[in-house]
Amino acid sequence: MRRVDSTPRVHWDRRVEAAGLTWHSGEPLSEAPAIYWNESAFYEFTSKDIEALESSTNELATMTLHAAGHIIKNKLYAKMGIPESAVGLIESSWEAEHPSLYGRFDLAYDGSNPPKLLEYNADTPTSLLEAAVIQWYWLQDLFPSRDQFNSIHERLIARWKELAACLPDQHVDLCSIDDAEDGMTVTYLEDAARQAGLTTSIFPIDEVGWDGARFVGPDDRPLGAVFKLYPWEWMIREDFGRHLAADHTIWIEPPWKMLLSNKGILPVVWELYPQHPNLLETRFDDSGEMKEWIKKPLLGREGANITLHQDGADVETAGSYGAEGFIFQERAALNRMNGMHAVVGSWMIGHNEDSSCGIGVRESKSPIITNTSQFVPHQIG
Amino acid sequence: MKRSASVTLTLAVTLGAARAQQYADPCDAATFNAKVCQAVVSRGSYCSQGTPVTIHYQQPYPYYYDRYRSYTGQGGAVNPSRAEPCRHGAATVHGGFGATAASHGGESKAGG
Repeated sequence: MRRVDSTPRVHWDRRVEAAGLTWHSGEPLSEAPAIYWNESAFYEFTSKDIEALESSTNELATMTLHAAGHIIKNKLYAKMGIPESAVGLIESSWEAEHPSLYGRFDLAYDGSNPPKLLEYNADTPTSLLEAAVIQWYWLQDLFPSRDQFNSIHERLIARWKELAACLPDQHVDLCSIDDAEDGMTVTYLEDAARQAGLTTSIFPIDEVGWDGARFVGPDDRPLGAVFKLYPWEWMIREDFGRHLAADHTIWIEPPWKMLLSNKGILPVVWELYPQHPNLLETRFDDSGEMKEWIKKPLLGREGANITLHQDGADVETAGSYGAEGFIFQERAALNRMNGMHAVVGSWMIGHNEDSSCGIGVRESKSPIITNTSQFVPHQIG
Repeated sequence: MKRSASVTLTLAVTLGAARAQQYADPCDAATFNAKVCQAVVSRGSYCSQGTPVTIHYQQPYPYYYDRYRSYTGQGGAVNPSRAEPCRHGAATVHGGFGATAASHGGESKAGG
């Protein structure tokens, strides 16, 4: 794995916009970097790298699923900051095997040591369009004879086709908040669903209604199946959370995914698979014997409220998360090239032992990847 | 090693007028209805001949108004849509999801 400087395509911004990436640059007056999509460099992986990432991702999928079952069996909900009111919802969706659409493992990888799991974005992963489509077009424009670890788009359409059988009227509604990046992700997922033959509609999550017996859309139509890019831990605590157990809407991702997106999955999977080469030591409550560690909120998002404890000085990020508790994770040495720290986002469509289907790389000058970190394309050298 | 033999992309990631026109989209330049367009852009739906149509308008209202002005400025004919904002049932309550995002202020993005 290496980072290679590269000349951006002429009018690269127009090209990525034409493919749907409207959110390619930060706000001009914000503290965010001016560029989110960064093609002034790319990461080059060897076939051996890709084999390692693919097999590790599939193994992590199996292990985290086992960990979710362990949490349910041993009722570890309180440890993970999950309220009692959500337990029935989780367990019924688990037993009914409500289907998963997608997920993304964030991995530390340096090209020589095994990939290490930093966290699992199991519920509301974004940066999907960039990984599935935008970097593929970039490859076709600049290196058409090269390859990329990326069958995300085809697998996504195939997965929607699989899900169609269990979606009422072969229709899915898609919801998100009014945010440019989230809207882009949902619009892309809608496009894939339509290519799979489903009928679709999109509306803001705050337009979901309750008619006294069931969830309805902005037009009062009952909601049969909803893809929601909105975290379960928020849904269960909001006003309509009290209706979730009584309603029959199929939610994608399903409620059991809130076990996997919770950072508490990390100490549980470590307990089940201690010293596994793809895991970092992680503990509830304290740092134990770890010398350098990262403290993460159980329900944190986008790198907020992280404390990186290391020799010299601690690094902290701001935010409003952490009320439910924290986990302590052994610090992973992120791959640092040309002054940039890289994290590999490894995508799964579905959730089983062969779901791994592509990667996207995000990098930052800071050792903590946040929502302002840049997306950099990749190729297989 | 080909990891991705082909990616057939027929993306239409911006939902455009093509799909909406068949339902007399009130924000489409050729069927523009200013009052209704303004009302439905933020709601994400309208009703046409009693049938609810859910659509994701990606731009604020002025964008559609400007497109309409540009269209008529070039001599385009307008047959205003008869669509109207959908009316909710009396017993239906909306807005029960979405509040947490707002409470997180600058971190309000829900995806990760």
